[in-house]
Amino acid sequence: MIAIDNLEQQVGEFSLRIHELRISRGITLLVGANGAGKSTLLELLATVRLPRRGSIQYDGRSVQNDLPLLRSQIGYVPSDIELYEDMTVYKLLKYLGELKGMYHFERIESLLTDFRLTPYRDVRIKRLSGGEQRRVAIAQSLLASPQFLFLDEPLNGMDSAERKLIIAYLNKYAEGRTIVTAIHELDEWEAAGDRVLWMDQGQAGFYGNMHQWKADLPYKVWVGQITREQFQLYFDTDRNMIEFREAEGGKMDLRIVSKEPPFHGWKAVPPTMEDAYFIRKFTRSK
Amino acid sequence: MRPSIDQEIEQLEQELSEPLRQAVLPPPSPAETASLIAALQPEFDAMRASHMSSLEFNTQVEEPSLWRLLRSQFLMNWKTIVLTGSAVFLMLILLVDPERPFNNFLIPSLSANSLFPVITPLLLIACMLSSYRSWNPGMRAVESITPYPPALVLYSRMLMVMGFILSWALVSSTIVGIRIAVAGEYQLPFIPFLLQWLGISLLIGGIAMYVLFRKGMKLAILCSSTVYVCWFIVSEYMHATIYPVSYRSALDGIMLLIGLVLLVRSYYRSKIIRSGAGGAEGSYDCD
Repeated sequence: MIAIDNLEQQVGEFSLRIHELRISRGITLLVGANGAGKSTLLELLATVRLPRRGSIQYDGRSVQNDLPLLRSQIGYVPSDIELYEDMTVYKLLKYLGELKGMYHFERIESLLTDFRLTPYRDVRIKRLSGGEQRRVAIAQSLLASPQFLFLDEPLNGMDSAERKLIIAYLNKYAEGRTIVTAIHELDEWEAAGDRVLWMDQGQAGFYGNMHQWKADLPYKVWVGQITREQFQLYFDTDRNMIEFREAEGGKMDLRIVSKEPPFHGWKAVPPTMEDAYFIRKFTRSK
Repeated sequence: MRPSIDQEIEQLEQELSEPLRQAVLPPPSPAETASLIAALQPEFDAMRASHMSSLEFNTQVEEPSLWRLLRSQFLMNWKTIVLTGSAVFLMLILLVDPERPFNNFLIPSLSANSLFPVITPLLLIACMLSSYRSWNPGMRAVESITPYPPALVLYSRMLMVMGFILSWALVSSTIVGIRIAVAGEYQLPFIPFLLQWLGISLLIGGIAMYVLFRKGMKLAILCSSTVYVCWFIVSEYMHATIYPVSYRSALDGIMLLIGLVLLVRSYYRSKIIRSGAGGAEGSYDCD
């Protein structure tokens, strides 16, 4: 478990404040708007930044007292990583492994297999696609089989097959370990995630399991059809629309957040993970 | 039937009210709660201690070793440094005319014993500045998460750069010395010649490392550059004045020793600094 207490961090104009938070084992999905503090929190958790105020404890070990031990158990993938493009995949992993004190190179081979990178073993990074480079970036974070894994938008630039591969791998890897991953697509992680942490303007707005995330919402989700004219009018006045698409007969299919049915005959549907995020954001803006 | 049951229930309530009142315990007072917590505290401490020891050093990770770090840094950076070093020192070798080593054919004031001491420290500062950290913040962050003392990684990289530059200078000095000896016109005092560039280079490198682990890279480069400029001025003055070679060599030897001491002190310093080497803040924080 990761215990955060009275954490305060100022980064330029932005300030992160978390009074008390306990992150349990399993996969925690870190969500929030751009600039909400997700990356700053991940940098603090990954010990890239050291907390100026407050404390972070990992299974009772603190950054202040046990930094080398913690770093031996931490893997990290930043969102803006640009791998050394002149190195081959294998050499880069070997170099980063050695920096972590890893001299068992069979681990590299197994990661190459797990991430379907074996054909690119001796290919230079600059010859790989964005998704393949991202897979290498995730593989490097797993070199030492760490107990704590912090990923900042790990699926960026990946196609759907790659995304499924990574989610399935991490789901298996998370057993008995702690993974915190910043994501934007909540629904695709629903089966793999254990908890959601919503960062809102530098603070932890919500932390709980997937069921809690979708429960106790102040608004409902409604689906139905309206005419194009109604849609135009509605679109101009309200901002509670989750989804819209054209339907047959010049009508529009809508998915709307509201306390009451917005039109006669509309049907309330259970919220998805994304809906819950939208509702929480919508509630906050109200 | 119904009135009779109601009466019975009422009677039962009346009969039981007093025994029930006596049976219900009053809620615990704050003092009682505090004493209970105090009594249980040893159990809490034991639970906490067992919980704290659950996370141990990663068994897959091996003990830090400066030699291993040097090796991996070398494998990582050797191409850049070899290319830069070979270009510069090849130029130096070619610039020294073996038949007129003390009177350069391009720039008369540049002789073998002024070229090397001027160029080697400059190259050293430039290489240290360019290779002290990765330029991409993401890679920098990933490289900083190491169980090694993070400053030791930086130390190994700087030491590798210094070692490389000085080795190149040594090889090219030897080639220059051989060429001059083969030409036979002049005799180059080889050890004083070596000391001349080695002394100032090690001093500059030592100062850069010493300041780096205390005040950061910017100040390290500023300090070493200042010392270099001062040395240059003093050196020019010494050129203009006649000093015996032994006097000059003694001065170079002292500089070399100071440089070595600073390097050793930086090594021990690098092992105790906690903060990350070139983390996302982009600065080298010291405790």
